[in-house]
Amino acid sequence: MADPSVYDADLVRRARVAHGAGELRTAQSLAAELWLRYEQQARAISRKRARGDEAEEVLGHLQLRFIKWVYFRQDEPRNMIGLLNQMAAYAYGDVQRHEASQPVAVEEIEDYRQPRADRTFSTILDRAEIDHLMSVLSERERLIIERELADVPDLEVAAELDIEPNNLHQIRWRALKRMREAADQQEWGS
Amino acid sequence: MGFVMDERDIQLGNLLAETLLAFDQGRSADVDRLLDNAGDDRLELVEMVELSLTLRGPASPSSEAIEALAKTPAFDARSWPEILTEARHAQGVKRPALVAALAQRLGIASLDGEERVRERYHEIETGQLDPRHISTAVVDALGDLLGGMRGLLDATRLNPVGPLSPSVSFMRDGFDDVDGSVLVDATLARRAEPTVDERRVDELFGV
Repeated sequence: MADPSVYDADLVRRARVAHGAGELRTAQSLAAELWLRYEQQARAISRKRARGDEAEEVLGHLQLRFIKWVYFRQDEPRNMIGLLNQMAAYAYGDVQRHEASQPVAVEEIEDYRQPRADRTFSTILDRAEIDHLMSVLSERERLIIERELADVPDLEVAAELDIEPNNLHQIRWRALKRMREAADQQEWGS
Repeated sequence: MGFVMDERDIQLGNLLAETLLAFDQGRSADVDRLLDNAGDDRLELVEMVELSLTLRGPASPSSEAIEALAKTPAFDARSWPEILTEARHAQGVKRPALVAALAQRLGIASLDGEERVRERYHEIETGQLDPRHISTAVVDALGDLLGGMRGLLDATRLNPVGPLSPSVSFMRDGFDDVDGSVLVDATLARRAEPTVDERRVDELFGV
């Protein structure tokens, strides 16, 4: 599977070149494509910070920060999931300031370089590392995850393994927990 | 104990499957309800959703979806001076008229207060005042006065205003501004102590 980070980096680079050249419509389209590639992940990440309507507000501020990062920052694009997690922490602060009718905190806009103490999956940078995490799974667990990634309906996978859907969900839950633990160990060990 | 853990893992596994389905179908309210159903394990469930989505990798959006999103205010890459000037010209509104309406919306009635609103607005439109510090009251008032563009102004206030043009530098020193009125030299005109309304205006404009 191709490494998506290469495609992401190209989108960011082209968006910045277009923006610098005053081709704003092109820059907007490229930034929009990059956002849509990760919008679902951003929705989930927003819900780590808040619930319900407030989570939607965090998502809105996260989107704004993400777009400004594409247009106006000079640093190299990197793992988008890690970046979104960092931005979400600041976006939550934006929501709180907005609710208090305070202006945005300018000094925080620029700083996404320092790693935060929060647990994130920022170690999952590319397909190679995902493949490494898959190696901690049993053969059956790996098959379940692979079928999910191939968009095979749960009922079909359960029938293939001759188990109940409940069991399938339980095994998948445990498999993901083990992958996350492995990712955490990798992150803290690195 | 092992049985209890098994039961919980089944519940959370089912919730994960349902939440991912709700995510895929864009049912945000259901996503939130399902996450809340996890109780004390809500954060862990969110993290599992995130991990599942991460494993899937990025989406491949259609060109129609990209173009539709690109036109929304959040993606507007223009600076406030560009946006305000274009909007004002599009509406055929002269700057003095806008300033008068803005002062009224902000509840500034005194002459010194109105004059300070005029100065501050001039600074915004000429890129001398950073929109990031401006209060939401001013953003909302400007957005309404320029024709329902609160959302656009709010979404673009982080966009840099860029370096000042030479013409703006001249205006800053007291040359005629674009509407023909004369800016009074700040060093001569400003009193040592601002009035109550001047201070109030400065606060509203984040100065």
